[in-house]
Amino acid sequence: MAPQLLTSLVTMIIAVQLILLSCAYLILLERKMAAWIQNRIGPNRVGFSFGILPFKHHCWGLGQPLADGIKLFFKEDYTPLNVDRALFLLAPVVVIIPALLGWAIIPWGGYLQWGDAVVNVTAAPISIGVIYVLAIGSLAVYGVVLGGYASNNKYSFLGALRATAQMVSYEIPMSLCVLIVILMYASPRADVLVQFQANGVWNIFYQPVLAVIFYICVLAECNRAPFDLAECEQELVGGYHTEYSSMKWALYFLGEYMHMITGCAFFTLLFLGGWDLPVVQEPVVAGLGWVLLKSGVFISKVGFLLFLMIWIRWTLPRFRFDQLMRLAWRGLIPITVILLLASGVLIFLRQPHWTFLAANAAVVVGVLIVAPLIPHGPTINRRIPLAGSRFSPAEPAA
Amino acid sequence: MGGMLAPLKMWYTTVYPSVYLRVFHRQRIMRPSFARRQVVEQLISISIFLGFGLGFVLINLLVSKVLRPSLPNAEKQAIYECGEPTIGTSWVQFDLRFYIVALFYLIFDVEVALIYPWAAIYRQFPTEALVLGAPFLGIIVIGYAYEWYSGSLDWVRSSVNTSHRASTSMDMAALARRDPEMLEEKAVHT
Repeated sequence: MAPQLLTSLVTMIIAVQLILLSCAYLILLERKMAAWIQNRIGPNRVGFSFGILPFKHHCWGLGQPLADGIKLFFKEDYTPLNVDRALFLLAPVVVIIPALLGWAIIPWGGYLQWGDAVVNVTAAPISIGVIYVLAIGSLAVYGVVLGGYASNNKYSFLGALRATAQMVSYEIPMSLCVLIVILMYASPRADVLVQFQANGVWNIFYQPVLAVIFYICVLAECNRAPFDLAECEQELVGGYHTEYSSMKWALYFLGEYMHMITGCAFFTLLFLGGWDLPVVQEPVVAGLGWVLLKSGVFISKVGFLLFLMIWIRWTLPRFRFDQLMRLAWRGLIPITVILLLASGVLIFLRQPHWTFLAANAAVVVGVLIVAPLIPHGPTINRRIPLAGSRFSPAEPAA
Repeated sequence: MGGMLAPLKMWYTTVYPSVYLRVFHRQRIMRPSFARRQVVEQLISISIFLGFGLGFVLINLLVSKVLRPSLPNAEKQAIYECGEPTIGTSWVQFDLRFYIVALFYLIFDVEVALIYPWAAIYRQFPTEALVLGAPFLGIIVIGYAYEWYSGSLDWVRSSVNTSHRASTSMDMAALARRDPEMLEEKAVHT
């Protein structure tokens, strides 16, 4: 068997196990951080005894994800009578598969010296690289819309429509960001993008505005707060998964957390230099020790981004839907298009790399100056005066 | 630093020889058989990954199907809409705005998908790429500007906010009185 295929298989097995485990513990981390932010204690009782095994200690609640998983296996799974049964079963599967497939191209640890060959420590070192992630990632919207449609529930339907509109809207600035990065480094291969950043400076220092936009898009693509309108409890019960229970519901949640990890890994490889350590000059083609170290660096960067995501969720309030659409269509898309044109012109003129930073700063200043001058019509929130209203009384008819 | 091409040069002089030439030249990168084998390897990896995913999902669903109880009753099998009795189906025609968003998305996404190869070769042929790419981008920018101007990007389109031009010239007090004449005039205006 070719060394590359063997490496791919080993990477794949380790990566899949790692994702599933980290998804479980990400949920625990989320609950813990919610508790800390809200000045509570959070889950701290469940250890590894599960009521039968002879362990005495609580282990700071580390058994909680396992207990939750076991509980979900034993939950009754009832399907309402009026649903579209085939689509109802298919939807959670369609959510989780793209989230998992997106992991295939993440370059974990650079290049490994294998005998006299050099192999890529990636599950699938495919040549279209990051475009593949975008293509697969946008399939996830089908899971959401199928789930909401099949449920035959008004809340689910509305939640699914909202989620669809949101995900397709934020898909555009996201793919434009990826386009600019490909424009800069002239290759869509994930390992090439990372190696460029490892040779020079991380992309986030050249294109900070782009990085922020990309992170916002990742949040919106994962349906995370402040963009979780698809499942906002106050308005839509559970959104598109209102009718789901037991393992299907768990698959939806697992899919959401997998999407978070995929998005953060994508951000890391595009903007945070992937496996690159900031100060140390690591060898390009290295032995197993270096590869493990580089994978550790990659995973810690992803972990930091996930931490940031959870922090944002429990800090910021939710957007309203018209604000959400306005942010995508009137904020992020024009800014990324302008950045695309600026980057194209700078590359055409063969300017040094730091001019990208200048262009980013200029775009921010320009937006701050130009935005108030654009005629944007009446404010959406304007209160219509009503006769007898306490807040905006209207003069009675003369 | 030697301008924008410095990282590209660095790539070809440092990484490219050490990684690609060393591997690929030995395996004769020029031969189509090698390229084909590479594609096959990538396809195998991705298919195995897909298999992993499907297997994971199926095992989960099957195991829980074996383990869990099943005690359906009419209450459980009803649609849950906050305890209210369900009125009608939810498979109805719905708001057109979602449809318009989907249309815009299609246009933009096809544009971006078509332009990826352009971005990948931009550094090699900057002049040709700029000359050919600028009109392509220009069309979508003009279309976008028109969308903005025509008010298609507004999410809230009540009788007040149907379009920018109409709503600026609106008599708010008349609207507050629900003045029928004014509302008719508004309808004609838009």
